[in-house]
This record gives sequence, C-alpha cells and structure tokens, in this order.
Amino acid sequence: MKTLGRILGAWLLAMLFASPGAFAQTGPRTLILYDAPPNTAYTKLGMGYAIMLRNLLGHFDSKVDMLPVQNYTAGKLSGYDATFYLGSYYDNPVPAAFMADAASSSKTIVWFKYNIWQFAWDAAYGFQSRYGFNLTALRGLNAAPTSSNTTPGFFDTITYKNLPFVKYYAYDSSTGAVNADPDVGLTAITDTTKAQNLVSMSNPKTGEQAPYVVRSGNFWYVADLPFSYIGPRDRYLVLADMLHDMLGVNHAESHKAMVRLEDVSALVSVAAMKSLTDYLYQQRIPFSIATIPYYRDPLGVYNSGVPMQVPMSLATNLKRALNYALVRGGEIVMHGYTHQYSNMRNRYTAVSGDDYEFWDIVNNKPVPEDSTTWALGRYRAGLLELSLNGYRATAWETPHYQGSALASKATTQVFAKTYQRVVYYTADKPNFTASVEKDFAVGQIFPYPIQTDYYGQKVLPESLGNIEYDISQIDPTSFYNYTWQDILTNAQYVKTVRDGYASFFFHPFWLEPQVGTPGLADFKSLVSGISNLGFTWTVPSQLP
Amino acid sequence: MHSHDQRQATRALLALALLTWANWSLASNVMPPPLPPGSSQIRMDIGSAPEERKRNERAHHHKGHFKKDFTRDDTLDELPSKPGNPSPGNPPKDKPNPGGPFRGQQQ
Repeated sequence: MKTLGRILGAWLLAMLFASPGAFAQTGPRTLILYDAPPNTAYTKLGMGYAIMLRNLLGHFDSKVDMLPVQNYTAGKLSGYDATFYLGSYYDNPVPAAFMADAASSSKTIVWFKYNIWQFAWDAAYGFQSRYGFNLTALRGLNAAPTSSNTTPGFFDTITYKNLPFVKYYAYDSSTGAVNADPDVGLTAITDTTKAQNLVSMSNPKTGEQAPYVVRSGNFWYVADLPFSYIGPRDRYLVLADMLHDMLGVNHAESHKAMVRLEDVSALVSVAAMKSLTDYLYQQRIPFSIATIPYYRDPLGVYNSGVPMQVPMSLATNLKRALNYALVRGGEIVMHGYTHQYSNMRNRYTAVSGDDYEFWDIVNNKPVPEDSTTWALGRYRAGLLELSLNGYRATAWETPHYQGSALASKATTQVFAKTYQRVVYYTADKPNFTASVEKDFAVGQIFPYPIQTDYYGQKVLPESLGNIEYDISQIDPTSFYNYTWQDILTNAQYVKTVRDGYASFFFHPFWLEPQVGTPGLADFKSLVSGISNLGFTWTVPSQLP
Repeated sequence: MHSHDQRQATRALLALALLTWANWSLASNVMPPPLPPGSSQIRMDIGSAPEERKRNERAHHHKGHFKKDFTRDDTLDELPSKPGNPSPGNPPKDKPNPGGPFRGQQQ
C-alpha cells in the first residue's frame, strides 16, 4: 500500500511539473519569414513556399512559426534555433530590424534567393567583412528566349554528391512564355577562412560556375528558392538533405524503400495480384496495397450504361487478392472510400480508381459538401467497409494525391499515418482567380517521412513515381512511357538525401494480358535494382 | 471641442511620424540589381512540375474492364504450372524466414 502511495505521489508530481508542451514537437524551434507584399497577384506565393519549407522541417519534428517578413519585430529571431528568410518577391522591402538582428545574432540564419542585396550591399551591416562573401549580381536567363533561341540557358545545374540536379525549363513556342525559375543570386567568396562554398551551380551555356549554397558560420545563403517545378531529380532534394546541416540535426545515413500496389478495387485481377505477391514474398519484401473499399460506376461507363456499385462484401476477387497478399507480407493502405466523387465525371468517368474524390478537379475547388464532417464520414465509411470484411488499414492515401484542406486536416482524426504526396493551399477555401492576393495550390513530394505537416498529418513518402506505358491505342489516357529505368534513376537521386526513401507504386493493371506490357518483368527489374542500390524494404506498419 | 481638435491633430501627427518611421525602417538603402533578360516571359509556379502533376492523376481502366465479372477468379484462366516448378508463393528454401511476421494481415 505504501509503495502504491509512493507511485501515485510520484505520478502526481510528474503531472504537476510537466510542461503543457511536453508532448509537443521536440526538435529545433524555427521561424520562417516570407514575402507577402500587399495587394499584388503574388501576395500569397511566399506563403506557399513557406508551407513547403515548413513541411520539410516537419521531418525534424521542428516547432515552426511562419510570419510575413514585414511583420518581423526586433529581437524576434533570438527566440528560435534557426530562422529562414524566403526571398521570393524581387526587391520586397526587408525590415531593417531583421537585418540588424541577423547581423548580430549567433543563431542560424538561412537566406534564400532574392533581396540579399538589401543586406549585403548596405554598408551599415558590414556584410562582406563579417561573412567573407558578397553578392555580385542577380542572374537568370542568359538572354530572352525567342523562337530561334528557345533555350538561352541559365544556371540550371546543381552538382551535389556527384550527381547533376537540372532545374526544370519549358518554353511555350505559341506564347513565348517560359515555365522555369531561372533567377539566382550570384555570390563570390572573398575570405575563405570565413565562407565556404558547399554546393556549386553551373551555367552550361556560358561555362560559368558559382556557389549555390554558401555558409559563413551561422549564416547560410542559398542562391535559389528550390520549391518551384520540383520533381524526383530536382535540386529540391539538395535542400532536403542540407536541412540536416542547417539545423544541426544529423540523421544517420539510412535508406529504406517502399512499394505499393495501386488502385486495387473490385475489378482487380487476382492473377496479377498473385504474381506480384509471389515475387515480393519470395524476395521477402513487405508491401502495401492501396485498396479502394467500395467500387462505384454510377454512370455505367464500364457497364453498358447501367449504374454499378460493388460493396466489399460482394467484391469476391478483391478479397481473394487481399487474402492471398496479407499472409505474404502485404498490408492495406486505404486509398479513398470510392476513389470517385458523386455521379459526376471528376475528371474522367466517375468510376472508382479514375476520378478525384475529395477535390472538384473540373472546377478546381473543393466539392460543395466539403467539410471536416463530410470527409470524416467518408473515411469512416471506408474503414467500416474494410472492418466488416475483416481488414484494417495501416495508413491513408488520398486519391490522386489531392484533397481539400479540410479533408487533409480531417485525416488526422482517423489515421495515424498517411502515405502519399500532398497538395497544400494558401487558404482552406482557396480563391485561385482573384486579381489580387489570389491563392495558390502547392503539390509537394517528400523524400523522407514528415512527422507533422502543415495540416497535422504524418506523411510517409512516395518519392519516385510509378511505371507507365504508352497504351493509347486501348486507353487514350495512357499516352506516355515512364520506364523502370526512370524510376531507378530517381532512386539514385533520392539516395543523396542521407535518410532518403526510395518509395514507388505500381498498378497491377500492367500485368493484365489485354494490356500487353512487360509489367511483371519491369517490376522485378525495378525492385531488384532498388535493392541493389542498398535500400532495405519496409511498410507503413513497421515505421514509427 | 477645442480639446477634441487638439487630440485629433496630435493623433494625425503621431500617425504621420509612425508612417515616416515605418517607411524608413522598410526602405532599402541600396539599389536592387537589374532583373535578368527575359524576366517578363517567366511564368512563376510553385510545387510540383507539370509532368509530376499529370502523373499524379493517372487512371487505369481499359476496354477489358467492360462488363468485367468481378467474381470470376482469373487465375483459373492460367495454364497449370509444369511439374517440378517451385510452388508460387513459397519463399525460397535457401533463405531464412522473414524477420518476424508480416504486418497488416487479415484480422
């Protein structure tokens, strides 16, 4: 009895002195300052960049605050382990209070891209003598692109861990517009005892080289803002890795891989699933199955115009495939409730597996019913469908990786983990067409798990993409190839991130005889290629 | 009334002083570098590149799915395996058992 009393007393004391944040994030405290010039079309663009950085900081379990730079007040950065300024808007005024604090602080400061001239070229801050480098110019395209010179070139290649990361560039010959983000701050190191060039960038057309990431003690300068036009081989990965150094949180070199069989619904081929399961089981590779619990074809697109729906209780082949896989290393990820929305073509057929469920892609806005309650209702209906048939899901994956802000936030009430890429918005009910202060949608790929993202989700990564074949003769929407070699190359790139995951998905569809593609052979080549790169396989249930 | 006017004037002066200070504290003391050539042609975007966005919404149905019998096991269409072939779904015997039971199994 005495012992029990002591234990109770100790527990009460512990509860009394535990801080309210005892169960909150334990990583570094970070501040993100972003450009938000009022009354412009791009007012909210900076917030979009801030959301992306905030998500990556979620890998480090960081407690993140985001603030428009004009709202910075003197002394604020002293309350953080690291402060990031995202210079996204050319010559947006940076508060003197921030620059004065940055010049005198010993805390980590990371400055991206634009507006560094306000700091570096103002004699009041003694930038060059303090940091040992200076800004020499703002560079972008080498010349204005024309129809006769569509690719004038720019500093488009960042070399990191012996791999070239080439920035995206696309010239639209019909309009003369360029989809690219070529601008970079050009710096020169003047005192190598103070500043080091950690990563270089090059301009292949001119043969120039320049620093991409410079460090001078607690101050870092990144010449670019690597959150635009991102992909699996983009310079975005360089930042994802270097954040470990910037934050002083050096996760050990560790490389995991994940594979997910995608869009598995009532129409699944049992033979295809068995072939894939057998191969993975023989290789002792655990895997996920992105399962759609309830099949709907409300317009009868694949049923001669007669509406069709298949609850899981009637989905005999689906259950055969799952039962076979689950005892051989498979586990279920819930991939929507129906993976389609209502009776409308959203965008394709209204058939499960084809369409968006939690976003009106036709009108690019949330669906009319969008609310936390509505999304939760669908999640719970899907989980019930699974559980009534004896299954459980280990994670959630949003159909086509796009749901509304409210739907994404609602996942946290039902699922401990999500396993996906994610689209974020600069408002819960975004307005993408406003003439000023319009909203932005931001699609983000993750190279590693995010403990908590902007919407509160734990996100396990899908970092590589999926194999595609051009079978437009039998499926007009399948009109391009993305080979297993492409995915394997992506895996080489994600390995530059010290704890990067090689995570891809694959449609069992590709093994069906009518398609006539070498799906199984290519799948095997890819899996063995990833294993040979030194990745070890895992599944959501095995991750913390 | 007189006192009210004075208060108004004081407030106006204070606001002016604050505005001047705010303007000074935000104003840059340096000229920015010129924008690079072709800047007006640049279409800024954020997040995934267009190709990645397209890949995210790929759908996979084909004409073989028309009127598909979702209860008929298509493994029955396959040829029986030749005698002597290893049984599918069995791990090779030269490898040790998996390090623990796989997760996510049917409840």
